[in-house]
Amino acid sequence: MTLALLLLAGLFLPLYPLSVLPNSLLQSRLNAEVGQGPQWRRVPGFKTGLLLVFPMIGVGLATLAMRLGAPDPRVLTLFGVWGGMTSLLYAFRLLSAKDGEIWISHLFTSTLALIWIGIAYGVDPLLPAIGLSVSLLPLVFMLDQLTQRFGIARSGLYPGLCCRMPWFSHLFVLAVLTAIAVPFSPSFFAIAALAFGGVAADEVVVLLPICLSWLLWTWAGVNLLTGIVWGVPRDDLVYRDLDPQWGIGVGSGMVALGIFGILLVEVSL
Amino acid sequence: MKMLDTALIGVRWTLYDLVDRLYGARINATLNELQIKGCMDFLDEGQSVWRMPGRRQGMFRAWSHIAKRNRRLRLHGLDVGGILAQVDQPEAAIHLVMTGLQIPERLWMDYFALELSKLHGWAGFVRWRAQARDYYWQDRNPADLVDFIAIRLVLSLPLIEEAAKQHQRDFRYPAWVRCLEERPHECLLRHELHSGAILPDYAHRVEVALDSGDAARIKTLSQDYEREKTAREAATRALRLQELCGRAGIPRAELAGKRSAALRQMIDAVYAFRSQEGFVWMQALERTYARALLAKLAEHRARTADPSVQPVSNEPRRDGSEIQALFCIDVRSERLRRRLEQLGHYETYGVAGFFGVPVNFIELGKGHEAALCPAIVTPNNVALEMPHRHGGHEHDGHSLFHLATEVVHDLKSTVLAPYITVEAVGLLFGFDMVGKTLAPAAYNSWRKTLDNGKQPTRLMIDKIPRDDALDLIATLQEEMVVRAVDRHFGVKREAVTTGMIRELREIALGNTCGRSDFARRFDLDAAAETLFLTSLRLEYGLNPEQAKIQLEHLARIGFRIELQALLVGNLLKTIGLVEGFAKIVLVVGHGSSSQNNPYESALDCGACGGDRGLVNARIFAAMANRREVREQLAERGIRIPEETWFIPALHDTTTDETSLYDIEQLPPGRLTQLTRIQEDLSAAGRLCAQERCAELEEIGVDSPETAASRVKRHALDWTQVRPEWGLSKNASFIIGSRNLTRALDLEGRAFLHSYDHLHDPSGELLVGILSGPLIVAQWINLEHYFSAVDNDVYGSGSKIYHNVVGRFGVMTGNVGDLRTGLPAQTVLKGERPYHQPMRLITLIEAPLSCVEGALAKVFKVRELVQNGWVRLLVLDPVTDRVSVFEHGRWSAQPWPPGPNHRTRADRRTGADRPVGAEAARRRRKRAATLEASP
Repeated sequence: MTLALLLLAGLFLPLYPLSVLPNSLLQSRLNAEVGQGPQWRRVPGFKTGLLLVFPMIGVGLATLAMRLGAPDPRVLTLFGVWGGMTSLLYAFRLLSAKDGEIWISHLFTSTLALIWIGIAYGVDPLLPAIGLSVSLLPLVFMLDQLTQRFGIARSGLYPGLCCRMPWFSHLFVLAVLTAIAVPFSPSFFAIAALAFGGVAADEVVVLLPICLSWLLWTWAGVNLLTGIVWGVPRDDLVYRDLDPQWGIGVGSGMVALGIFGILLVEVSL
Repeated sequence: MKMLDTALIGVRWTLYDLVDRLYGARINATLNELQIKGCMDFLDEGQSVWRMPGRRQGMFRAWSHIAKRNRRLRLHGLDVGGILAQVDQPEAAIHLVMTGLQIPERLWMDYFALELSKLHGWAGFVRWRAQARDYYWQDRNPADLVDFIAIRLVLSLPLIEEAAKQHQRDFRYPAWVRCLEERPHECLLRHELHSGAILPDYAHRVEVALDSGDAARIKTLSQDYEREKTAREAATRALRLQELCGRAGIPRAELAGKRSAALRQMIDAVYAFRSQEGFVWMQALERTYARALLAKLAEHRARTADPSVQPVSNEPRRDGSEIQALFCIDVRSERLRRRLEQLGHYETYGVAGFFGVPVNFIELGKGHEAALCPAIVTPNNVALEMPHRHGGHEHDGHSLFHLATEVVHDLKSTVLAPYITVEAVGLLFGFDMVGKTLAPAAYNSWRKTLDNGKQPTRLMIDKIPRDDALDLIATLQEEMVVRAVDRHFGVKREAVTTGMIRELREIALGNTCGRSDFARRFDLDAAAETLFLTSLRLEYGLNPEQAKIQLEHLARIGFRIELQALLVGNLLKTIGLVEGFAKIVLVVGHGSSSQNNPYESALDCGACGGDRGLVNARIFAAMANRREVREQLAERGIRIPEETWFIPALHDTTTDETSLYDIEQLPPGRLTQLTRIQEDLSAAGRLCAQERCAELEEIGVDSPETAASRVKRHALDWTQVRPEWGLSKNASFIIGSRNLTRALDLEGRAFLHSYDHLHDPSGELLVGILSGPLIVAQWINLEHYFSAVDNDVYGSGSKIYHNVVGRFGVMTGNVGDLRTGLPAQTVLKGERPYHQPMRLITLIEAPLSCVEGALAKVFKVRELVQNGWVRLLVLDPVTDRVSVFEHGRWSAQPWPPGPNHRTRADRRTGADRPVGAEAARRRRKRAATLEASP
């Protein structure tokens, strides 16, 4: 039963190949575009809900499994290693992702899979899971803004946004940095909690996937920014920047997220 | 939208361009990177510590020798070893690759041109090097474009093959032709997707369709895509057209009908205008400037013609207190000349900054010659810099500071030392960095106190008599003998007599034969003596051929007195200074000073080959001060009074400071005036600095003193990317007397060459000005023009990302094309051009017939004028008319213009007005007219 619950949790705190489900759901717009999947999955609210609810369900199932009967530590270590490898696999795939939906789904899988390392070594998974999933929300909103303007959120199709859409570009850079766990974002404190919490038990299994994944996220983030924010703008497209008031609102939200991250570290460490 | 045309393969696209564009590969980028690295290694001129081996064999062979064993290339999937094993010559490699790719021979030349254009900076440098005469590095390490193309093609073949393997396609020429013909829709969609031109909302669908490989699906999507893209483009154009019509005052209602005449007229006008739009804007710029210039000159003439406002001019010169100054024609001299003349007792002249003295200069302590003259001139004479005091020890040895500097730099330039010594000497560099960054002025002045500076020198400008030259060579040879004797036998000078040394020299040179006294004295056998003499001949250069070469070298040093008189006389006649000499004539060269600036020479004197003009000024002054020269000049009618003294000076265009040189040679009577001259120069410089600070948008500059200290800081600040604007904004070249422009504020935009047609009845002097200074000014003008119109392509982009490469150029980033042209900081202010891109407006004050005669004699300038690269205006002082050369003919009008003429011209210009121009024209007021519209 415990093992079954843990495996079920692997659908929500994605473990490869169970990660196919959340990835497929998060890439709903792309699927809808080529005639697969219903239209309602295109709505950003669906994605936001999914990003917030899936980790909670996963954490809930994992906690329930632990409560039902303490699993063999070797099994938990196996899940930890599995989570670490899933994280690395998706971080590596992130490097070649150009589409915003694929990017978000891969990053979601790569980050949330690290929760298993915490579960394996006794770190309370709730706050890290919240930190990691909440950090992706600003990027979901920003990518949705791109989709509204250009029909698709994808790197390399409309470079040079910094020249034509400065408000958007500033916020987009912040959103990407938040998503890839730069310091003072909630996700940074979340992975710090996972790393510091588990390092005493096993340095290699804990630190290696966390550090390598973090490195690859940063690399992928720079690639994404290079293909969207920098470069020479196209003349044949209409660029429409964010309304400054909307921009201030989103910026304030990001500051609030930063504060939440600091609070998170206060609680978790 | 058009399908991809097979005729463009090999003409506009290389085969790997197609792979990149249709399959999203990066072969071109990889190829560029690999080739640049090869070029950097081979073409290095002393920057790298570990040099590429085998460079003397030529570029292709040296590169292939290394490429065969380069494991990094194999890691890239590039096994060039197989190709290089089959060929030894670059031509053979080219043939192998071109036949391997099955490119038809008729396309080869186009294909090579395409390959060369990929890295046009590097290709241009290789070509220049291959054609340069006596270029040391080319003689030593030969390279040409055949090598360049061969390397590129050899690298491209395995990259294309690797891509073909990866995509399971054939990427050779015939296969590409088939692909474009048989699958045009797929190729179009692939091209749109990977070239970044695709409509964003189609990107995913196109990608999925292409991945499916379903031809029918691809065709349907392609047709849908074409329709959508065309519709969107049409919508965008309609919006722009609507806006244009609105600006032209065409009511919206008139556009509504499908057969709207106004709309049709506007569309026709747009298409007709499109091809010549840039040229029209440039002409507008030129005409605006020329009109303003002529109006300014006319106003000035009217003012100076009025006796009530005419200044008392020639009074001071008669009593000998006036000072004359010769400046370079450079636009930056205009400000200083104006400010100096405003002080009241200065008369200035403009002349090409090499002062008519083309010379090869050998600086003290340097072993090479630098040509100080315009690039179109090849100097025949050499000037040598020598220390003032000979044999003194205070400058012979290195100071502790110099010694420390040398040691640190030696450590820096070795391979392993930096790893070991970084902690010890790294701190020194940190100290340097902090000082230069936080307090550049104070730090540099402290550094100067440590550095003793350059010792006082004089220039050797007189010819060495043949006997003296022979003596000099003999002395040198005897010195060689003394050293050889010491080295070979350990015999010191005190043990050998002068007779023995001379005898050994004579035997070595083959003038005498037999056993030498030296051999007898030191008991050398015949074999040892022969060996020693052979060593003297081969190793120490004691042979007749070497002596002859030395004699030829010595013969090039200095100028004969006749030549000196000719050079001085020509210059003085050209600028019209043949009488009324002041007691002091300043000869002001110019240079710039900046830190951390690879473009420093672009700020120096163009007429001196991009060097400082001081040496030429010193040589000219020294020549003009010689009694023998003045005697010869007097015979030609130029009488320079004995009390007249020429003083060389250097105008630093960054700080606007002017320093006097060679004042120790000044007669005592002149010394009393020096302090005042120096004060005047400082005052004029401060006022110039204030003008320039406004241009540089310096904030808080409220006085000339503040301005002076601000520009001085620019010269010392290593973070300053724009120490001065240099020649940016240059616009005109005025050849005429200073009376035409004196006291006029020409805003530092005019090259000013003094010329008095009354002293040039044959027109020869004008020919000299047109064929030298005008050509140089036109080069400068076009360099700025092209760098401003497209800084990324013709200029060199931002300085911020530049790196010096191989000691011969700069490139952007750590691997990039060699940059040509001027940096963005020189011609752009932010994103907009600071330099107004227009052709050089050349104004000559002389009779039209005289100008036409001069043009007829100078083919190059005639070509420039007739082909529209230079805009020529002639102010004829005899007829009081201004003539403009346009559309292959001269058109004249009275000057200064009368009110009637303006009306006529306006009437003419209204003839073929474009649609919508009416409203704009009504608003514009014209200050003066110049010429009819095209």
